[in-house]
Amino acid sequence: MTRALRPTRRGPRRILARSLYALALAGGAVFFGFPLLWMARGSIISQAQWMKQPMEWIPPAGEITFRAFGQLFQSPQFRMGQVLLNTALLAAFTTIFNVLFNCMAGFALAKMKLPGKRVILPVLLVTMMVPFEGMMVSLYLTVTRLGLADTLPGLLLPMSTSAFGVLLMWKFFCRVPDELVEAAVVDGAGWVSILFRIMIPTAAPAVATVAVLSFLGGWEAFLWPMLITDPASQFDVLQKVIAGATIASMSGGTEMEWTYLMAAALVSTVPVLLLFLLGQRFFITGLTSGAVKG
Amino acid sequence: MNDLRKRPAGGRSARWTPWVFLAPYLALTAVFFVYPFINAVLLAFQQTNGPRSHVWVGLDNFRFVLSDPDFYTALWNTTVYALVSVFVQLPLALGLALMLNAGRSRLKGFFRLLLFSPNLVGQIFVGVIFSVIFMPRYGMFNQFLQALIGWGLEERWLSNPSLVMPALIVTSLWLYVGFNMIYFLAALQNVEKDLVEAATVDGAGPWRVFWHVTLPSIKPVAVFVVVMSTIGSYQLFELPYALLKGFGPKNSGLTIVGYLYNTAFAAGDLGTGSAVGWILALIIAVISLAQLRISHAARE
Amino acid sequence: MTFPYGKAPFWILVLTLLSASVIVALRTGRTTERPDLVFCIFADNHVAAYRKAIAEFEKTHHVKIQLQMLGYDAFTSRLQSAMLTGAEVPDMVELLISTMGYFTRGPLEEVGFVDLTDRLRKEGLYGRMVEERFSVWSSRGHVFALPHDVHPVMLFYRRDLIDRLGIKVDDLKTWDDFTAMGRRITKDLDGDGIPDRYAIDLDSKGGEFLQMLLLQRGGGLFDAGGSVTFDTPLTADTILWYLHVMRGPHRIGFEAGWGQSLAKAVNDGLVLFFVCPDWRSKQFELDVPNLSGQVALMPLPAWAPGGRRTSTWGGTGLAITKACRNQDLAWEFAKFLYLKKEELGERFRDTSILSALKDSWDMPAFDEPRAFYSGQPIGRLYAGLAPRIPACYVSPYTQLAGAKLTEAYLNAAEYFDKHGDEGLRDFIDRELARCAQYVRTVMQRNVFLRPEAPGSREGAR
Repeated sequence: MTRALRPTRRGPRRILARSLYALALAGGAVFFGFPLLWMARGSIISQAQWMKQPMEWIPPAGEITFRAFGQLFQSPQFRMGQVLLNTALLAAFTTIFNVLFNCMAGFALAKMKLPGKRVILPVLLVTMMVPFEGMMVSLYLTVTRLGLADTLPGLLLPMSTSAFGVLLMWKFFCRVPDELVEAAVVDGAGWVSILFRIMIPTAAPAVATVAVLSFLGGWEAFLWPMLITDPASQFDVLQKVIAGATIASMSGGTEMEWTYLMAAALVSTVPVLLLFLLGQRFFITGLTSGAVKG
Repeated sequence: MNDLRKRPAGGRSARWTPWVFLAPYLALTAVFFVYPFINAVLLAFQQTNGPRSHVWVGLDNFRFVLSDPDFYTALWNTTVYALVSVFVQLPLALGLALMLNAGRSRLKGFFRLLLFSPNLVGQIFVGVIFSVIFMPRYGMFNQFLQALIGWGLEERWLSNPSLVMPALIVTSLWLYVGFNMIYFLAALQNVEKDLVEAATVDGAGPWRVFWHVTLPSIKPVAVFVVVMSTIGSYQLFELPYALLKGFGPKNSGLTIVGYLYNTAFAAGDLGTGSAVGWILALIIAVISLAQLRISHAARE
Repeated sequence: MTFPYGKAPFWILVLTLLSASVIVALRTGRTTERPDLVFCIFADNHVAAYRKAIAEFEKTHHVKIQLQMLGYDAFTSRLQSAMLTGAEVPDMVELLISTMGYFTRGPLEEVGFVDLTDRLRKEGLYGRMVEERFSVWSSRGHVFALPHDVHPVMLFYRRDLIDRLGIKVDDLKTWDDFTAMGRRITKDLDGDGIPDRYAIDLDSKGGEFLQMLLLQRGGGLFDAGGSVTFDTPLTADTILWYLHVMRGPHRIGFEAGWGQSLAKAVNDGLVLFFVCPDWRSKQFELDVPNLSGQVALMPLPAWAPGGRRTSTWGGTGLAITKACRNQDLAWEFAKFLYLKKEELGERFRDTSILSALKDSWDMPAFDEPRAFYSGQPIGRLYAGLAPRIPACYVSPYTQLAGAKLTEAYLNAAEYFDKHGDEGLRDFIDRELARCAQYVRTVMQRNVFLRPEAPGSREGAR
């Protein structure tokens, strides 16, 4: 334990503090861990076992089945293979476009001579202030009028830049010393190579922020896909399919087994969990750099 | 701001270069923000049905929303939720971060993963999963409560109007405490150890160290997290929608965005929906400006 | 060369390229030939039956029909938005009762569906079908969809347990009989102070259960003219009854939920009766096959001796969109699907849903005893009640009115929990008046539904 938490006196108070500490952490672990465990358990048991009262936390070996996973990938209601692919694609494209476009814009604003710069800042601020939900209705009308309803561009393009990202990149790029850029210019580098060789590597934490936030945004997108894609669309994404299936089953429509839902939750979490584990440092930097160093 | 007066090598005219770099952002913003934005302004003063019927109704949409008791229910629910987020959820996140910061790094890594994973599950799934957890008699939460304090087996968390908000809050704690904790953990790592040690040597207890050393140095992050949580709270939609399969009995889980969704999409009144969007934007702008102002004032 | 930003972005990139190429590969194999009719449905228990019918219709008419199966929630929000913006819509859709109102909130000429009134009249379908059912699909006197079903309501019960308790369901003629019986059998069996056996499953929020009971008594949310009608003494009486059934120490009702949680509650004997429209009878049969032979159906108890012993709940209808290019073909197909007697008999065997076409009830399938329901010929039972179902008028504001009725009920429940019966009736009357007034206010805002409504021409740009 570090000093900040070390009690001033030793003896019983120290023991008390230690056990309180352990108790609090254990409580936290239970509160946060149990629903996850319960979800994992639910995905590998039979329907009968799911309904069993009182619940057995560790199902008997005979009751373990992976049928739910098979159903998810086969049933026309879930089409998990295609839906996962779509979601991954949406998340990845959202990330790539956001990083690219926001960096380009931030770069131009930070390091180039630009007569109209004064006009752009208020636009950025207003864009940030107006929540997506406030614009949702007329954005929907616009995209539909453009004939982009239920198309990949219609789904993707409105999500592919963000004012927050541009502002963040602008701020970080401004801190890159001009001398660095000038030296590159002397060496004969063009704007594009300056952006990719100097600016982006120097502002890596901010790039990580834009990347991680837009990735999560794309992976968990729900409201916009629900509005803009057809039902049973070829561009369906995870959250939309699940919301559709569960709400239908809860309101007395098509019946869905809960074990399928748990399996779906697991299947949709594992890929991002793996990504998170692989690039934990990147994720953490990405989430926090905007706040910590901003 | 330091512009580079010199253009990079290559000799081409640089006058339009910045516009090339800005083009994707500007084009996308023009099509997917500015145009719908102007449209939304106009829509808020109309009643529409289908692509052909437009009737100008002046301020009637705003007048209706501002006199609608359901809107105030939504505003109240959202505000309660935002207050709880700031005054319960964030302190919990900070507390956990402080505890983990003092612990071993492996413990930290484990908890960071555990607490962050709800975010990877996604709001819709979380809502749906908790709707099962809160089931009367058969739900895990109810059985747990019954075993622990002998109450709660038959409580209908999701259909009893006075229990809907607590259920929503428990769910949001599960979802967001970890997310915010990550910010606090990152900030705590930047607190200078020397300062903490100096204060401890001077005889300051843990509380005083926290108030006078730790808190001031994580303040920028704290302000950021408070502002983001507040804005996020006012935009709450998916979680109650999935948890309650709607917005709860007597609108007990109705949020402002939920109200917007109901008027614009469930009832098909796009004009009124737009008006609600405007009112929401205004509320968020005012609150975030006020929060920034307060934190500035506190700094001086 | 190492990738500069660590593993995560690298994998994101790899994933993108992979999925992009797979999707491109999948897309190229698709044909884009447009069928003659695109037909959208949401209920998957219809799929098998419709596939068969489509194959037959395609053969006899030499056309191509594409069937799209959709999730209910996604389906309505998307269709609604598409109609609002004039985007592409299917040629024919099967609608749910709850969504119908939405499409009729504008001027009559702008309803996105073809007005079927003349066709129905010309072909004499008014007499051949249960006339009350047209109420669901009408707006301002015009019918916009062909009714699929009648959906009469019965009461489902655990025959084995009820027999063991010595109860004769024939004696349960009125709801008063039923509540008296319920008080006797609702019991705490293990001594923990919480009942473990309830008489009936009802929604603790009132909701559609309350509306169904109101319809049974001849009440309802709206009248034929589309005016709000739930602020009546009849509604207040029903709420009063419902409160006493669901709340307080003498309650006999428990909300068992839907689907699997209901199945479990009935299986465990936690609730012994539940309200069972024809569509629910099949769902339940599929959910709990192990109860076969231990359950049965009875008519709803009446509100007064000799009164109506059924109600109606839900409904599906088939509408042709105005965007449809071959409306005559669509109409032919609609009739083929909904009005072929032999098919309907067959379909009843599969779905237990009673068609609105009265002649179809003569088919032998309706007299077959069902083993699951202790050998009852449930088709005959439902068909016997069908002619007496109440009309159910739908408005663009049905959802809102339903939510407000729930609000009134829940406020009454809060009052009842706090003050008991003292002043309860007055309180309910006040709440109903307030909630009805709210709905009327919202309705009056709709410029398209006012008598002097601006037509599409006037409002056009």
